[in-house]
Parts: sequence; C-alpha cells; structure tokens
Amino acid sequence: MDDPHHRPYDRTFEAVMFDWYATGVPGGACAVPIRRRVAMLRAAGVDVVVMGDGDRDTVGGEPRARPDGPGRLWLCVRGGDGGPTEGGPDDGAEAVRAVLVSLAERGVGAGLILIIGDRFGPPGRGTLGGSIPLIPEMARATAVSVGPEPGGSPPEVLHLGGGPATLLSLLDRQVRRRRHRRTPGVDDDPAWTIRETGGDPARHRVTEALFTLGAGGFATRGSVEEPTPGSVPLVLAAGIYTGGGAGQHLLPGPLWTGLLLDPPPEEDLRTLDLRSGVLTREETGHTPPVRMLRLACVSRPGVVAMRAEAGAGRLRAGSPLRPPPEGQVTEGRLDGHSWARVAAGRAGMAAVAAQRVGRDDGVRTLERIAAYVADPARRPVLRDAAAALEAAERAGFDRLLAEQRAAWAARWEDVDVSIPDDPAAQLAVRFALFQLWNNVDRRDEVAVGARGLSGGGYAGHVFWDADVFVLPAVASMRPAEAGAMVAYRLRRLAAARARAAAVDCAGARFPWESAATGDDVTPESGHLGGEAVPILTGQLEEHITADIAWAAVHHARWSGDRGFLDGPARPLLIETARYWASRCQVDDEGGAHLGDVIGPDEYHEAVTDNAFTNVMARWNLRRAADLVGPDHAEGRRWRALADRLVDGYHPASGLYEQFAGYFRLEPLTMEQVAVPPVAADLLLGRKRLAATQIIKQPDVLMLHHLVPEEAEAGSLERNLDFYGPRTAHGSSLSPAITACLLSRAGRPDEALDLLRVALALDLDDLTGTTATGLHMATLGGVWQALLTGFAGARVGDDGILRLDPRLPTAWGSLGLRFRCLGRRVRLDITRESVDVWTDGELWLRLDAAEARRLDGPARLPRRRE
Amino acid sequence: MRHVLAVVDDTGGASGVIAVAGAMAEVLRADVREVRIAVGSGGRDVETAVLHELEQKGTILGVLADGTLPGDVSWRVVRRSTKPVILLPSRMRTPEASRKVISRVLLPLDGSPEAAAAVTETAGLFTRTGVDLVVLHVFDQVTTPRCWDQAAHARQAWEEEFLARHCAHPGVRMELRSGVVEEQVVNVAVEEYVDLITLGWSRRIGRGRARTVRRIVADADVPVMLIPMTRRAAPPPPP
Repeated sequence: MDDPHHRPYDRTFEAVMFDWYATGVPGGACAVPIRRRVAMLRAAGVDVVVMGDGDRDTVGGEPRARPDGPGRLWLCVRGGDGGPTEGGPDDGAEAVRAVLVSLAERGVGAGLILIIGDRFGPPGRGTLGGSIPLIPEMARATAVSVGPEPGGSPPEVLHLGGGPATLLSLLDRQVRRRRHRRTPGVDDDPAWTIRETGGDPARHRVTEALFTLGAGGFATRGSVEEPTPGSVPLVLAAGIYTGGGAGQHLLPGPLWTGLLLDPPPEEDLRTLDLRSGVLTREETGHTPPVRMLRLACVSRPGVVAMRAEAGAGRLRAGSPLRPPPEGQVTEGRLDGHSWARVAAGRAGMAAVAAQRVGRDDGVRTLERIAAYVADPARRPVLRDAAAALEAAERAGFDRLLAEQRAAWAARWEDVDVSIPDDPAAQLAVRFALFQLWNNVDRRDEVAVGARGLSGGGYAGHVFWDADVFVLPAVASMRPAEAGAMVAYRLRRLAAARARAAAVDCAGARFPWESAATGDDVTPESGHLGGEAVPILTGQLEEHITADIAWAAVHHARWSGDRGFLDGPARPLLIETARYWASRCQVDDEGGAHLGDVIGPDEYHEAVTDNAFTNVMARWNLRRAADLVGPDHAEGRRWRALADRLVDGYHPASGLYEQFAGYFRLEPLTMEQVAVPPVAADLLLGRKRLAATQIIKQPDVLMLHHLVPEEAEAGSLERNLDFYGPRTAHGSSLSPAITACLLSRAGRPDEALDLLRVALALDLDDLTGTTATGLHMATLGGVWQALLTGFAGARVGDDGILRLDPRLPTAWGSLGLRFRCLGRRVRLDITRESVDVWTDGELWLRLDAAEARRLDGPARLPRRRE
Repeated sequence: MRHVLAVVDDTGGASGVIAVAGAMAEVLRADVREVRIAVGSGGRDVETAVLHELEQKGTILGVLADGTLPGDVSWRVVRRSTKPVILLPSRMRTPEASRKVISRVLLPLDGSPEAAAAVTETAGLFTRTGVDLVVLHVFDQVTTPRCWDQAAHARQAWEEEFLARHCAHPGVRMELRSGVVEEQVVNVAVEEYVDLITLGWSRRIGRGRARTVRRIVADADVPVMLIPMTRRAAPPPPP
C-alpha cells in the first residue's frame, strides 16, 4: 500500500539532480516552469544539479535564470555524443563525482540527494546507461525515473513515469517541504551513523548519553522529547557548577527539547549522524510517523535547534523551555520569546527560545530554536542570548542545518580515521572523536569533567583524565581547545598555590578533583560495592600536579607554539617544580623520596616512592630547570634534586618497582583472579587486594606512555610483560592506554584486542554506568591508541613529528588525519609505505630514518614491520 | 474478594503462618483465608489441594511453612504455583518468632531483567503502601562490574542506573555486597532488620539460582516470598 508519509521521495533532500532535456524540458517544451522551480529550490537552500548534453556553454545556457540563493547550481555535461558509454571514460560520471565531492565538503552525503531522470534502462544494463549516471558512490541516493522505461528500470531506481509533469511535482514537493518546515533527515551511511531502535529499555538512558550533542561549551543529552519514566534530560555548560565542596556539580540548565506526544511512539529509530552532527528520530509502525531532527550549532556557540512533526492530533509544543531538575528557575518573555534562567550561587545559565508550529498534509510541524548563555561568576545576560537567537532566526533553520553540516564536514576533513578492514572499529573511533568535539568545544577556558557534559556522573569534576587522556587527543584535533584545557588549570594556579601552602609546601599543588574554583572537591568517603571506604586520593594522589605540567608541555609541543612555555605556562611549570622540590625528602645517603602517595594504581594507597609519581616529579623538575636556564640557582637545585629522586628501577631485572615494597607483595596475577577487565577491588576486597601485586591500571607503564625519555631504554617490554598480567583494568582509563603501550611494544594484535574493549566501553555500556555520562578519558585514550599507539606519532621539543607505525595483522592499512605543529596532516599507513600529506612545511621522521622536510604529498617507504 | 491463603497444618507452624498471612493481608488490603491440612494426608493430595486453592481467582498469594508438610510438598507447591508463595523457614514456627507487621522488605536482585520483571509489581505495591524497600545486589565472580573508577562517584552512578533499570520505584534504598549471594542475603536481612525477603525465581529446582533460593529459605530468620518468573527477556545487560 502506498503510504504518502513513507514514500522514499517524500523526504527533504539537500540536493536535486535531474536531466534537463529528457525529463525537464523535452524538445520544444517551455522551460519557464522548470527554471522557476530551480530558482525556488536554490532560494530555499537546495543544491541543484542539472545534467545536459553538448558542451558546458550549451548546458549553462539552458537554466538561464540563476538567482542568488544559498543553494548552488551545478551544470554537468553528459559525455560524448549524447550519452555516456558503459565502462569507458565518461564525462558525465566524472562530473557527477565532482559534484559529490563538492557536496561532501558541505557535509551532504549521497543519501541526501534526489536523482530524477529517465532512460535508466533495464536491470543488468549497468548504472551508467541512463540520463543520469548512477555511479557506485551514489548508491544511497534516491533515484526516480519519470521516463517510460519500457524495458524496466534497475532495482535501485524507483519508476514513477509521468515525464516532466512528475518532475515538476517532485520539485514542488521539495519546495513545499521547506516552506512548511518539514523535518529533514540524514544520510543513512553505516560508516557514519549510530542507530538505536529503542527496543531495550535498559539502553534508554545509555542512549541519552551516547546521543549527546554539544557545541560552544553547552551540551544537551539525547533524551527523547516526550516525558518518559527514567529519562534524564539535561543541558549542561562547561565550567558552570553549583553546590560547594565535594558536592559541587554541574548546574543543569533550562531544557529546550521537551514536547508532548500523545500517544508517545512505541517504536522508533534514532540515528546519530556523526558526519553532520545531528540527531534524528523516526517512529516506526505508525503513520504519519513522529519525526525529529535536532542539532547544537557548531558555528553559533550556545544556539540549538530542532524540528519535529507528527500526526496533527498527537503533537503539542508546550513551552519551548522547561525547568531543569534543580536550581532556582525564573522565566518570562523577552521580545516575544520565552526565556528561562537557572541560578545557583554566583553561577547561572539562561536560554531564550522561539518556536513555530505549522501544519502540512495532516502533519503538525514544530520548529524550535534556542540560544544559551552561561556565566560562572554572575547572572548571565539574557540580551546576549536574545541577540544570538535573533541572528539564528534570521538565518533560518535550513541555514543553520546547512552551516552545521558544513562545519562538521570541515572538522572531519581535518581529523578522521580510515580502517577499511575494520568498519566497526572505524565507526567507534569516529564516535570517540565526535564526542570529544562535542564535549570540549570552547576556546577560552574549558573544564573537562570525567563524563564531559554528557551526564551528571562524576559531578563534572575534573581529574587527571582531562590532562593526560583527553588533552593529548584534543591537541591533535583542536589545538585551540587543548589550549583552553590548559587555560582552565592556569587560571586556577592561585588555588593550587594555596593548597601547597596549606600542606606547608612551596609552589603549587593541583587538586585531584577540581571544579569551579580549583579547590579540591574530592569526596572523603565512598563505597567499594557495599564496603564504606575512605577516599584518600584527594590527599595522596599527587602525581596530578606533574601531569598538569606535562599537559602544558604536550600542548606546546603539538601546537608548535614555542612561546607558550616561556609565556603563559611558565608560572605553572615553575610553581609545580617548586612544589616537588619542597615535597621531596632527602635521606642520609642523598636519595630523594616521595612518601605517602597514591599512584595511578589506586589499589595500593599511602605508598612510598611510587615510580610513576617520582619519575613525573623528576621530569617536572628537569623541565622547569630547562625553562629557567642554567644560570638560575633554583633551577640548578631542581636539577640536582631530580637526579637524586629514586625511581625504583632495578637494572638487573629491567623492572621498575611500582613502589617501595611492591615486589614483596603476594605475586598474584589476574589469571588466578578473574578475566579482566574487572573491578578486582570489588571482587577481592580492599585489604586483600592491597596485599597482592594486582593493580588497577598501568602505573609504572604510564611513565613509558607519558615520558618515555625518562624511562630506561628498552624497559617498556620487560615492564609490560611483568605488569600486564597483574593489571585488572578495573579503571575505565586502562584499556585504551594499555592498547597504546602494547602497540609501542610491538604487540599490535594484543593492542587491538584491548582497543576493542575501549571502543565498546560506552557504545556497549560495558561498565553499566554510561547512562550517567560518557567516559571522556576512554574516548581520548582511543584516539591516543590510534595516533600514538598504532601510528607511533610523537612530537618532541625539536618540532619534528616522529612516526613508528605498528599495524595489527587484521588491518592492511590505517588512515589518519590530524592536526600537528600548526599543520593538517594526513597519513595512509601500510606495511610497505606511509603516504603523508601536509598543508605546509612539516619535519617528519619515519621509523629510524632521517628527518625530512615535507610540504604536500609524499610517499615514504617503510624500513621494517 | 482478594485474600492471602494461609496453609496451616497440625505440626506446629500454624500460628506463624497465620501471623505472616495476616501481616501480608494488611499490606495488600486483603483478607486471610486459612486452609487446614490434616495430619496423615498424602503428599500428592496435599499438593493438589494447596495448588487448587492457590489458583483460585481471589487468591493473591499463599503462605506455607517450609518442611512441615508431608514429603517436600512446600517446594513442590512453590515450584508449580503461578502465584507468589511465602515460605516460613523452619525456625519461625512460633508466633513470637513471626513478624506481626511487614514494614521493611529486602529485595535481592541479580541484575537480570527476568528477576526484575518478576518482582516489579510487588515492589511497587510495597513502596506505595509505605513499606521500606531495600534492594540488595551482590557482586560475585559473574556480576562484578568491569570498572569501578572512583569509590564515591562510581557507587552513585552504578546504583542510580541499577535502580533505574531494575527497580524504578520512589524511596527505594540500595545495598551492595560482595561475596556469596545466599550468605549476603541472609546477612543483610539481619543487618537491616527486614520483615520479609522477596525473591523472583525460575521455579526450576536444582538450577543455580534455585539452589540459592533454597539456601536462603533454609538460613533466613524471616519469611521468604518467592515470585515466579514468567517473562522471558533478553540476556541480562550489565549491571
């Protein structure tokens, strides 16, 4: 049965491609109607592709009227003597390919193209035989034949017949859909879309986190629009906290996605389109279906927009802004728009929203645009939000959507992954990149909590996750945002100084958990399962101070900003070194020690000389000494102290002892406990575990990851062999970074096994807690595993990008795009060679070869693997 | 008329059974209906008679003493009944040992959708009638989460999601333990001074979970309500 609401051509397309002569203006016919539609489509923002015969001037002359419009007009010439020939070189096919590339640059995939032609020919004739060449890249396009097709049409072409009249009708539908604000869709490209059918109730809140959309420091969870039991809709803003002490948490803002749907959809398909940064929903089993599309505008910070539609009796818009679950809410009207503001202490978040309700063909439509502002220190200014809303309204929804697609296309042009042999991993890595962008999108200062802005979990507190796991990924994606992450720490240096002073130390000591002010907000107690335990990390997990210094240096190295360390970051490096200098205790034999600390392995608390902490402190002291120069007396003392800091290295075994006394613990391995990853502390209990060598996550090995130059040459492999079997991976931070280390140790197949755990951590909710927010450190770790692990990409102080690729057996090639040293870099890695492209001069060293200057494309042969 | 079926015999468990049935009837706003089993009746006859009474339209649930009926009739009834049955452990046969009111209930959940589905209606009923409901989940070799990042935040996140998935009723409190499930259920029942333990169960004697259920009934100091699982659901997701 023909359902008018499910016809494949009754969707909103972003581009329409048709044949001028065969289907538009057959010989002798009047061209005026078709010209008018072309003009209307372009004015509405639709790209139009006209295919014609002859030369470009002839084709170009046919549509004649070319009014300015956001929609572009392409004129494509069919090849040769009136039709492309099958299998041979084909101008028409090449022209279509060029159009597809151009559309893709604006984020429009083939699935958003409507092709209208005739003479597509019978099945088996081939897809190049018709009036529009159906090249393989257009497989997801909707192709319609309005010609007679006496021999039948290919299966991928919908035959409507009706000639030019049908063509005009199809074009009119597109114009009408835009005028009536119908809900657009996405290109259902499996390489770019995460889909959820909503069939499993246990996944609902997980999906809310996975489908978070964020931009400009604001993010909206992907909750469904109608009130739903258990649903946790949230709008959060980076750095906007409420509450005090350990209870400090992100302030929920006014909600903008709420609708009333009666009855609510029983089944639906929700699609997160990574390529264009939009979330869609389509009801199944009901006609007309509920449809929705929403986005958080990348190019307009704080602006969000949605369209929705449903049967006329089912959809009620209600107020465009709804109160969040907590906070003091005030509401009102401003210039005809609704506003709502949430205040908590000095912080606040406000939104101004507009909406339009319409009707088309038995369907009620809704368009809603809102603009958010937030301020951590004072009441946010409504007028700022109103101005942003007004500008967005002037542009219109279609324009916002086009901007969104283009902005995301530009992101993916710079940063992306290609794993032809592993499409599932490729999609999951893209998801990681997507959510890193969503959650870290601010250039002034950005506080990246453990769960980002995707949920209330971990209260938005900022851990070393941000500095060591997220920042290195962001540094290769968005250098400015990585700088904003460092800025968050720099602006809280005063609090870190106060913390150091409070424990009778000099310099600056950063908090284990940080929020608005930079004071420590670590809770003092918690539960290991049912066991109430004191939480000592706030007091003892001190390595974060060196981690933050490391993050500043890492940002400077990858961005190529040589002035950063001597400028803005200089006080941070110096003050953290001062802290370590005052914190170390020197024994009678001259050895320097750090007692009573917790390393990354949190199963062993209050230990002495944790190798990771000591080596990071040593690195911090040396780095600061380098910065101040040899003439600086304090710097000379730092260097001398660094040289005396014990690191637990045993030359005979090649092992670092994780802390003093670790080797005397019961030599239990995970083989005797359970299959990792597992929270071994819940399984064995805190005390029992502390007496064994089981560790939560890489500890010694983290120094091989962060500061390999500080580790003994060749010690990675031996320490990996020793600590690997003892690692429970009971921290979500563990699998991705261990994958990175395994790659570096020449064990890429094992690395891939662990990478898959990291890739599934949120997508498959392996921890059972993704509902409360995405694990940002894992997302960052995933990208590090690709870039630093498999590709072996590192940047030193010399401004040279080093590559040392190690591909797993299952991958024949790995393509990476990233930012480095102010350049855009593309790698296509195989076992034989590495194809490199840069958009400017870049010094690069592959494997052990000499560094060479590159600018543009180059193929570099591999020396080994 | 809705009623709680009290299955009493002449072996000494009657007063406890009647007391528990009365307490449950108060929670459920129902009456108590006694069915008396004569000493000397054959096991098969008793089983048939009790099941017949349980299957009556007005019967909400039954209360039986564990081990007093001939043969293993109590467990055979429990296995075949499609309605909830409360078993009184053998140590609870005196009125003094029986709870006169049901004010706090322990609800152990293993994280499977089947178990949650079986008890959800009863859990809702308890919370609506002001009974304090304590959900217990025990981490063992199989159910221990993969990660537990930070003891305060992780507990909050994990608990929030577990309750949302498995017992989304207002006012529910959660307890977590690690170890052997049956031991922890019995321990927590004592620690929390609960009046009743409520379990969803598969009705398959001998399977792992059923063995756990029998151990709990044998060792508990309070009545145990067994709610048959009837719905098949997808494999349990974590947690």
